[in-house]
Amino acid sequence: MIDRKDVVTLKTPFPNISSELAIRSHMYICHRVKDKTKYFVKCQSIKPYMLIKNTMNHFLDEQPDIQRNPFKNSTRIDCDKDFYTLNLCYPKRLCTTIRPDVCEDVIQKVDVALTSDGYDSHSLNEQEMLQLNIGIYRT
Amino acid sequence: MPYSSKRKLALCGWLQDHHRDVYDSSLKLQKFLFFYEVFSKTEGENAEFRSLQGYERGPVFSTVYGDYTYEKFKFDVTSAGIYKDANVEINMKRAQKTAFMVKSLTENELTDLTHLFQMWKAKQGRILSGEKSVPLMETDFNEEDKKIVIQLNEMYTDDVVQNSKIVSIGDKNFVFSKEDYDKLTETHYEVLTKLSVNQELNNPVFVEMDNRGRLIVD
Repeated sequence: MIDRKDVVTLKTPFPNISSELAIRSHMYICHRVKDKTKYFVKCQSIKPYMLIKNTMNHFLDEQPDIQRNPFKNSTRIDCDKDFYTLNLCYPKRLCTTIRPDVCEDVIQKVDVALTSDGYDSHSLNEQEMLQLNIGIYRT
Repeated sequence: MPYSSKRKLALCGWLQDHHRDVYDSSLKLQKFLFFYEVFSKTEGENAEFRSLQGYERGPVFSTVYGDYTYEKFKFDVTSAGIYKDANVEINMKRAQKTAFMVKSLTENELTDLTHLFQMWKAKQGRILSGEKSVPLMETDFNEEDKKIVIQLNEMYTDDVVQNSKIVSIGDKNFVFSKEDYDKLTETHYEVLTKLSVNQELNNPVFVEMDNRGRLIVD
């Protein structure tokens, strides 16, 4: 099962568009595991609009670097909030392939950014997770 | 005619030849020229900011604007000729990256982006008070400007620029690998049309296709 520091790519649906046609996909870093509950922070490709209007207060920017992370593009890790599931299991084989995790330095910086001013926690829809992400299962 | 420098004419000729859609927008052409020059400067190469003036929607090379606006046919022919003569060196990789970036954003987004530069901000008050033809100075290009250029350079990797194609629908510019682009069907375009009104998506929108033909959106 995945652990702290592991990175998985999770698919989520678009409202009003069948998930047979299009879905969203982002990398999530598992930053905490407590019993069956897994907590994640979301990673997004850095885009020009972020230079114009930064909508995040706490974040960590990472360049692709196999020694540190599995990212293919310049990536911003959103540390204003995290996401969790209560009863889902994520086998290790769902981890990203370039490397399965982020390094200790990255996860520690995520911890610092998350805790500096507190953060919101959002539950992920477990039924949608199960439907869209093959390999995840409920215990 | 023309008042534009040979360097600018060659760049416009290249743009006309490779990205006619960008060339056909006066604003996008100006953004292409501006970003080509700031990329050149940031990489420590020769850059030319002569005749750069500040307008409400950003920096404008006034000689190019004049030639392009008032003598378009001559400008098309002359710029194409100067580019084909190959007497002026163009950094192809940089030109491709700049054109790709300009193509991947809307005119308003490009305007917002050029407004971030100190080169424009230094004269913002005069420009927005209605003063015309306010000269923008290369000496106002500072470390913050350099940082913006470096960040843009990191966002638009050579791999993405060389191996991707852009599908523009409404205000959204979807970026596909060339391989996936060739597989797009009418149904995909219908889905992209629906996605083009999604407020949560920001340009450039990177899209991959999975083995079931489903669109995977970043």
